[in-house]
Amino acid sequence: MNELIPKPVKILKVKDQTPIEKLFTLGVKLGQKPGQFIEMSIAGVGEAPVSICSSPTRGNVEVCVRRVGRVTNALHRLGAGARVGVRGPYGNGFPLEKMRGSEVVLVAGGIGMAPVRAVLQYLLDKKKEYGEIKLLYGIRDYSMMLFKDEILKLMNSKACTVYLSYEKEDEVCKRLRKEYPERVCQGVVTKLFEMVKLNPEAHAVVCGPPVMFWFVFKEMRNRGFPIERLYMTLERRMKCGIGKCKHCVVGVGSMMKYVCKDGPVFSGVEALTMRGMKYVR
Amino acid sequence: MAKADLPKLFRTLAKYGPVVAPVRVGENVVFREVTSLEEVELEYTRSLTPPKKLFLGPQEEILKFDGEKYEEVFEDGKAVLFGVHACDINGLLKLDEIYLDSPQDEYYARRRENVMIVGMSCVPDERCFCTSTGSSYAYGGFDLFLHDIGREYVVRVRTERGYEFTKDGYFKRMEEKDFLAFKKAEEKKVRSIKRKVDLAGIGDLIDVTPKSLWEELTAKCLACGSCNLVCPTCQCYDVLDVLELDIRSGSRIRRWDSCMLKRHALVAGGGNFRPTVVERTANRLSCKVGGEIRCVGCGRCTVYCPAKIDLVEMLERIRVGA
Ligand SMILES: Cc1cc2nc3c(=O)[nH]c(=O)nc-3n(C[C@H](O)[C@H](O)[C@H](O)COP(=O)(O)OP(=O)(O)OC[C@H]3O[C@@H](n4cnc5c(N)ncnc54)[C@H](O)[C@@H]3O)c2cc1C
Ligand code: SF4
Ligand code: SF4
Ligand code: FES
Repeated sequence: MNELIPKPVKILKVKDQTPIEKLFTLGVKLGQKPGQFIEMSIAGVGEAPVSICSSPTRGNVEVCVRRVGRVTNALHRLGAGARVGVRGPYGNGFPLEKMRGSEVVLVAGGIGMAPVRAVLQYLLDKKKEYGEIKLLYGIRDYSMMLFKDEILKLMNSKACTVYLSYEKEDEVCKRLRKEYPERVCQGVVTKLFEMVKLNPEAHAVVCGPPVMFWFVFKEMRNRGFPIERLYMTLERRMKCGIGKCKHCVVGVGSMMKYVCKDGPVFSGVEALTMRGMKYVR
Repeated sequence: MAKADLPKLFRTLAKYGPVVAPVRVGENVVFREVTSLEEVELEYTRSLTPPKKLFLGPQEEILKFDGEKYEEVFEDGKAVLFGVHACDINGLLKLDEIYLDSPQDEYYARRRENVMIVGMSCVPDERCFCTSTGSSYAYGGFDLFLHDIGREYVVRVRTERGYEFTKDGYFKRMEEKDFLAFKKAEEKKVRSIKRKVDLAGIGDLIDVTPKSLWEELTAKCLACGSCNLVCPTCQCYDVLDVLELDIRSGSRIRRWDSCMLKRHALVAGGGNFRPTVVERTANRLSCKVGGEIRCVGCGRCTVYCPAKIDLVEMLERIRVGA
């Protein structure tokens, strides 16, 4: 089989998330692992890697895409019924089997909420197999919050404990802070660690922009969280998604890895020992 | 076989498919299609572009699309790649590790199957260092290999496909004296490769090399990417879509890319994970010798660098740390 030929897939539904992000439901089930991604293709424009933001337990594949360049803008112009090309799923995904039986702390910032949502849905659907779920989500303001309905509903439920930080206060954020003063605060996402008791027996999943990752990493480490139980995703330029084109490599010297094939999920230990990753700071 | 019989072998090989061989063009030697043995440069040091171009084209169409319907594009064609040196054959074996690894690259895999390879002993110069990278001898990765032992060639057969070409009467069984001549010729070649570089643990040394030394080593680098384009083991490619005038059909093309170019690690929004030649050179060296040795010591990147940046000198300075 030629892995580079995309499969045509129908867009079933498009839902606005923020002024720059949309959620696409695709007419395909891929049996993916949370944390895996697909290469989405628009003929004549190109391909872009995007994380699958839905759990395999929920059926069709969903992706949440931020409009930033050629492919992503072209995608935003498409509506339900249009077709896109899909390859994948690719990448390792989160080691959810290792996390079985333990508490899971999810930390998300910005578009990082997309892969985290796939994990969250999975954990909620397999509630019995996992311990407590905590979600720490950092947003700029309410307008930039992804999956608004779902997050607001979860804040009010016992299935998981949601902690929220926002940088700019608006009406909704203010209301939420008043309603849940022990779980909502103004500031960057690391500020939430003042409100959360970290359990060193837990596992953590961290997704967000590179700067955020290093701050979260340091904060958690300083608070005694074992970094070998922490997992994060990396984003790099990608072309093939299958370990050939070598655009996505990270690391220097003897520790070089393909983000597409060896990742995009890496453990805290890998993050610490792969020097190239730190150039990001 | 006697050297005088080479034209015969050439003619039977040509029945398999078009022959691509080293040809002298001005100062350089390049691989191109030939119709007679006279055109072939039998004794050369290194070709400008590596023969990998037959398997991974500098620019090739991979699929056609019409709206969101995608169709594979593949030209099937047998060919003979004639006169390839041990370093370049080893280079192909290194590319095999990437392109034949699951999921394999169908384009590469099919060409690798279709193209027959006839190796040829080389004429090393002072820039070759293949004995340090373990690639001065090809154990496999070819169909036939011709070793020059004076008036004759010792022919090593590696595949059944190659064996088919050795059935003609002018091939003789090797005798004791031929083995000795072969051994002597190989020893002479190995001795003539004077350039050495110690690669043990170099990956970790690259890792701890201070920025100041990187800056010094790369000060003259033009970020032109020539070192990548001539390298027999560079694997990177870029992909782009080309639209027809009807703006719905077109083709997806891939072409060699270069990690020394600024755009290689550029992401949307202008972020770049390897913004300067320092990070890019560290990446290139890590890729070549940081972990598994992916350099075959052909010396091309040094010979064809317009800024005269010498890979082995860089590695020596990295070892010394100053
Ligand atoms: C594993 C992974 C998961 C991702 N998940 C998501 C997601 O869920 N939602 C989302 O909105 N974005 C995601 N991204 C980022 C997304 O891939 C880029 O925003 C996208 O490639 C930009 O393409 P473009 O053509 O619109 O931009 P352009 O700027 O026009 O990009 C041109 C080309 O550069 C490459 N490129 C540019 N930026 C990136 C980047 N950040 N990562 C990889 N390649 C890039 C692409 O090959 C693209 O075709 C993910 C990236 C990776 C690597
Ligand atoms: S060929 Fe020389 S100048 Fe050009 S990118 Fe390579 S090292 Fe730099
Ligand atoms: S890195 Fe340089 S010497 Fe090594 S194989 Fe590539 S071109 Fe040849
Ligand atoms: S995206 Fe091509 S090697 Fe990783």
